[in-house]
Amino acid sequence: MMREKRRYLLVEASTPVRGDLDEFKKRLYISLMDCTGQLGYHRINPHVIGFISSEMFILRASLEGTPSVIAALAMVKSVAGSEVAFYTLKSSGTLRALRDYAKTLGRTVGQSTAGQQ
Amino acid sequence: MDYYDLVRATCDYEPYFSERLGFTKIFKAGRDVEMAIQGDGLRPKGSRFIAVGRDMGWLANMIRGGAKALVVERNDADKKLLAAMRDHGTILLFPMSAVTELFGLKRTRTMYFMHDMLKEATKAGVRVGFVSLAASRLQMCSYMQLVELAKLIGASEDQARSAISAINRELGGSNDA
Repeated sequence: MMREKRRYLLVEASTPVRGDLDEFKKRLYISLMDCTGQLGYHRINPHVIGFISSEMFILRASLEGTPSVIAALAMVKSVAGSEVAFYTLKSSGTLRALRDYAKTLGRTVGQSTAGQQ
Repeated sequence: MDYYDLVRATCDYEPYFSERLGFTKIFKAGRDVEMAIQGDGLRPKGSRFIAVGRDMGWLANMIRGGAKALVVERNDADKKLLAAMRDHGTILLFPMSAVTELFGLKRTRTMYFMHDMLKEATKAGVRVGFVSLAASRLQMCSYMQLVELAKLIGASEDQARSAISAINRELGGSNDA
């Protein structure tokens, strides 16, 4: 079986993410599906890899779906009823490059959640 | 390549934020460039201004008055207006916050009209620009998102990148970084 080619995106939220992170991820996926549709969602296959800070996280997407997920993130304006905007700061083929970039933004790399390598 | 964005006067953001979003500079209406909005009744004082309106006659007047760029609010610029823009070298700006702020059928309808207008403008030889024209921090987007949104309405990757990069020439002048 061929391994899916992936791309990692460094995303910043306009407001800190509070509460249950798993619930936030679920709500984010639903918001992304609203923008891309069920067929588009299947193609982009998004997955939150981990949080770098309360406002910044890394999202994994399939290579072919990366442009769609970048545009969809610009269209998501609320998650679970609260207003929020997502800014895609950088995309990379490796997690390390994104973490290094996040460090240059003055953020500390914290503990990440499930799905981490 | 350097990228530039334009936001409305009401948009407040931290000074470091433009660099974080990947822009060399974010132009702000009222601070860096004047904005004439149809219905406001205010005449721009400087020579470098942007006109935002929906009436073709008013927009044509603004072109003759020296507007550097136009935002056609209903995305329905006619051929006469496009020809005037081409002759005067006026840029047609596409405000992407109009796409990101709407939802459902209204969003798809706006994207359809923008797609159509972009096609007509490209055919007529009019220079185009893609900006967020955000009214608040929530409407802002990074340069990557701006490129992808431009591609959604029919621009090619090269066209999107060069259009986002080129607005500095008209809005910023030669002395802006």
